[in-house]
Amino acid sequence: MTLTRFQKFGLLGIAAAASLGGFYLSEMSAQGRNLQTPAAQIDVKRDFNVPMADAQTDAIITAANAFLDTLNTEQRAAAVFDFADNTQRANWSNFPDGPVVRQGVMRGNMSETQLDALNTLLRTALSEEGYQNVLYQLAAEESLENGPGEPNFGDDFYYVSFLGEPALDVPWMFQFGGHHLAINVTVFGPDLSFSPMLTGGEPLRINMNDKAVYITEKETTAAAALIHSLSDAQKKEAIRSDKAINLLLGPGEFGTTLAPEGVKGSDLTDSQRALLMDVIKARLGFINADDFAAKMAVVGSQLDDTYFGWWGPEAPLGAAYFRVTGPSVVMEYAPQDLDADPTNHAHNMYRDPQNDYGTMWIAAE
Amino acid sequence: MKWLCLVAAAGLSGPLAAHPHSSVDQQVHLAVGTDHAEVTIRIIPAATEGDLTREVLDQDQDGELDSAEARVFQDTVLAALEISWNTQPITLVDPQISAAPLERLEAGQGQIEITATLSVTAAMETVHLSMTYDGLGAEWLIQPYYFEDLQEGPLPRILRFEDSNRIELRSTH
Repeated sequence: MTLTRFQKFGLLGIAAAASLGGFYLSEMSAQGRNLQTPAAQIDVKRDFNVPMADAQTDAIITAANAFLDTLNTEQRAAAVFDFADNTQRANWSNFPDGPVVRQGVMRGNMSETQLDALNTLLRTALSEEGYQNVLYQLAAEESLENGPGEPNFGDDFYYVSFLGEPALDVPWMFQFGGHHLAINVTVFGPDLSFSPMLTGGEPLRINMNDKAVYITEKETTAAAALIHSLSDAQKKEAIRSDKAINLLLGPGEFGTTLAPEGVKGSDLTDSQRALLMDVIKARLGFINADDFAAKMAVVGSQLDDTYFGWWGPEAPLGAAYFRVTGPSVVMEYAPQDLDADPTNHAHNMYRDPQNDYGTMWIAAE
Repeated sequence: MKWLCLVAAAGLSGPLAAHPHSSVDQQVHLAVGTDHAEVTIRIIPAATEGDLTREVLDQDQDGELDSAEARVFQDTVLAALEISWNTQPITLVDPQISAAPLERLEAGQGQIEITATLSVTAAMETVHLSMTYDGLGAEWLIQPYYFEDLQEGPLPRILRFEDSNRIELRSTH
């Protein structure tokens, strides 16, 4: 049973009342005294009836074990956690290394052989586009300059970890991430959940291999195409504000159910529905082809009940917050207006409200 | 000490300045069920307005936000929050406040959270919420959330206004 956001509020209230009569110095939120993400409150089953894995899962398991086999004893112990470890399950953040203490094996401590094996694993779990996005985000991070003390910027400060051992007959989880990036893949036989997934980053405009890249160009272009396709009446529903808002489903928001807002899929024309699918595909297209196809089949079947909402200006590209809210997909694109250019910094979340961290398969009733 | 390092570094390089909040972030989260509701107010003060944050929160100027000062702030903010349920004004029950230490709040790196339950006795037809507290900044994001029981039927219509400090939910039954 998933703990809802509102059950979480109840627990916070109890904690508050038990401390200082209603006032306490917060250790509990990601923005409180401690930036560490709180554990996900999931009652993980002890026994599982895992369906037979398919070829894609088989390939991912092979790549995961090939990576693990490159680690020494100490690294392997650091990389693999108990599958029921809800603290590590939720240990990802948009915040940089240092203020957030991540666990696992750090990229900067890996040999070339280990990095090659990690890249193979990422390429197997993700699509080529998803893998390329990781490379872009690492390159963007590498362009940030470290100041004295914390935090640590740079592509060294990204971590690999596993919950459970990769195997065909048990659920397990693969995590890779750092500042602005969190890949969380829960594997359950032939089925994979990539929720929650954090992408975006800063800067979004980079040069890579002598080529100018706008990391979120495909997604922002798809969203702009959809908003520009709407009639005045549809825009009145879709555009919720002329000001961008902040990310709502970031780290620590497991179990949160946002009220859907915006224009509803059932009120779109066929061509507009195709544009909405393009927006979703631009993000979920980071998933390997096999699992992407399975996910999009579900998302497509629920398009009537999927909403598209927009907060911010219609131009320039990347300046607006937009959100897709459907029964099994919530996507946020949240520009960060902290360095005078909101188009160059974004915190982007994907969550499946029905299967965040694979709870559909791993959570006790 | 970790945070002192972060604060010190924030003034030295562009990317390091990326994470302390340079403008105040103020949100009201309204969680609605068929016949029950809760409200959560989250405020992350602006790093650029540290003096204002201290002036508003640290009434005795001793450099700390104590429980009495926190309650004064909580009551001030909640007094500026108006919620009506089926056009009737609502009483807030069991308000609680939590906050990061004052130096974190001044630096735009800490959050204040105020929670309360709404005392409601009838099924929701309309909910109107407005927030006028402007001590740390005038703009608010009001974001509705739904309890599971509300999601079982037709979803309410959410009305936003040019004035982003108010919102209305209307049942579509």
